[in-house]
Amino acid sequence: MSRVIPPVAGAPHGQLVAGGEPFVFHCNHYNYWLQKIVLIADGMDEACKDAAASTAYAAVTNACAELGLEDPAARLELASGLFSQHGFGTLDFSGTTAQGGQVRALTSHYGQCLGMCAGIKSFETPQNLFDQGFVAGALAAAHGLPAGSFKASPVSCHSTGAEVGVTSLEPREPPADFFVAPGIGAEPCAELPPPNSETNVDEAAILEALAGLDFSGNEEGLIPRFGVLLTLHFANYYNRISYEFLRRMAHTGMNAYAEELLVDSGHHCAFNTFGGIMKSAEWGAVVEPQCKTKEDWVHGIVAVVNALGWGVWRVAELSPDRLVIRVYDGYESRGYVGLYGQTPDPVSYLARGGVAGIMNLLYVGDIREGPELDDAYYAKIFDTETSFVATCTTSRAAGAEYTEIVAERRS
Amino acid sequence: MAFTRALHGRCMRGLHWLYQTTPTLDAEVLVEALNEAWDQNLIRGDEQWGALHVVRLIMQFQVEFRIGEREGQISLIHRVSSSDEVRELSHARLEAILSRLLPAESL
Repeated sequence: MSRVIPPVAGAPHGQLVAGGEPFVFHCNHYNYWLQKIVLIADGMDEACKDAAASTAYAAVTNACAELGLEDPAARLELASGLFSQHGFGTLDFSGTTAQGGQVRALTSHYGQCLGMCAGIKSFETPQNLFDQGFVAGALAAAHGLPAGSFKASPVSCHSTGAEVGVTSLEPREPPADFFVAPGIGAEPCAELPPPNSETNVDEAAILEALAGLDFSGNEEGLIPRFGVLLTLHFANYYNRISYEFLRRMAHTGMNAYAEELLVDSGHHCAFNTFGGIMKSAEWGAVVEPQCKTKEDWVHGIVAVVNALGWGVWRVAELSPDRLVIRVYDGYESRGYVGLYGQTPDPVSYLARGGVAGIMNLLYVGDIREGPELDDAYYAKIFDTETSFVATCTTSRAAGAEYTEIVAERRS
Repeated sequence: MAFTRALHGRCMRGLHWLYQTTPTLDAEVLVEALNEAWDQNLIRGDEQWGALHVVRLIMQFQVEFRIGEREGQISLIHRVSSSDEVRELSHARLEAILSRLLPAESL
């Protein structure tokens, strides 16, 4: 199986960059929960499509320039390759021209893998908003048109029971305020401390071992790993839809509620992704042999996080009732600054949910016992008086050296 | 039976099955048998997970096997686009191989 793809390069401080855009690993659970949450706000379906179109446009345009690809067919081949390699599915652009047309998704992460998280076979509305936006942006990039040149509409979607996902692309005048993906965002911070040494875990060895595993999309363009389905996704897609959701909810006076919803999507990410990783055979082989104590499991999962492109996490303080994580160049902060400039308000919602999740998995429940990661167990460890909640005490997006997340028990 | 099978968990909704054998089969013997059952059409990938050597065998758009993840464990992961018929056949072929290779349990 060969694909034309932009190479993913490791950039400073944990970033994974391709076509000038930063990418982060997230699983179908986070993709399901985040999309479900942001669609609460009016107009977010189109915002999701536009975010996907913009980030795809940027990556495809930059990658084609790097590789010297000028022919539209070659550019679309790269776009298809990127889509599949990063775990989004498989695309067929043969029904398109510079005037639009229809794109077929033979397989789709958003179309076929979110139902697994929802526990349902079919949704009422198409879940493949990302796919629709991606193909719109990719087609514009392929033909050298401005971003936002195509309106994407669903014809059919796996998530509503169709065999194939089909998106219709119609030409349009690009909206004047069309979102422009900011690339890597804010510049990296200067200094990066080494991993916490008060552990038996060797982070460098873990990262080296993980580098030997294949995290590319299979022949279906999907990435089944750790018992979940991963995507190597656009950081700026996540950032744009999250912060646009907040902006729209602020107009309704429900900003605080919206922020808690974003943190909650991080809780679900931690429960399913971190929990899935810590129950996986890969963890059993690579990380668990180094773990002598429960605290080592915290250091171990933090080491794995540092392979996900999220930035660099460091354990600053750890006890059975408190975890302090310092996030250096987290993708949320860097992306926010790139999109909107600095802000005094913390913006690292996923990180908050993740840090609280680590403590709930180990110090409220005990993931080392291999529990079933079902709804009942989620409620048992996240929804009690002794469950951990996390707050942000400093923020990179405000100009601080790092974002500090503190998880303590609710009571 | 000298083997058991169970769903991996709810995350992949019936796609990922775990087979546990007693005793643990030699990986290369199992690889050869699977290749024979799929007419030598399986694509092989090898991964090193720390001290573990894991073999991945893939019949494109149908099924993936992972051998060596844990002692005695074989993962069978259906492809999302595979039909029910193909999935049943994948299970049947693997189970026929396991029944042939594993010693019959004593009564």
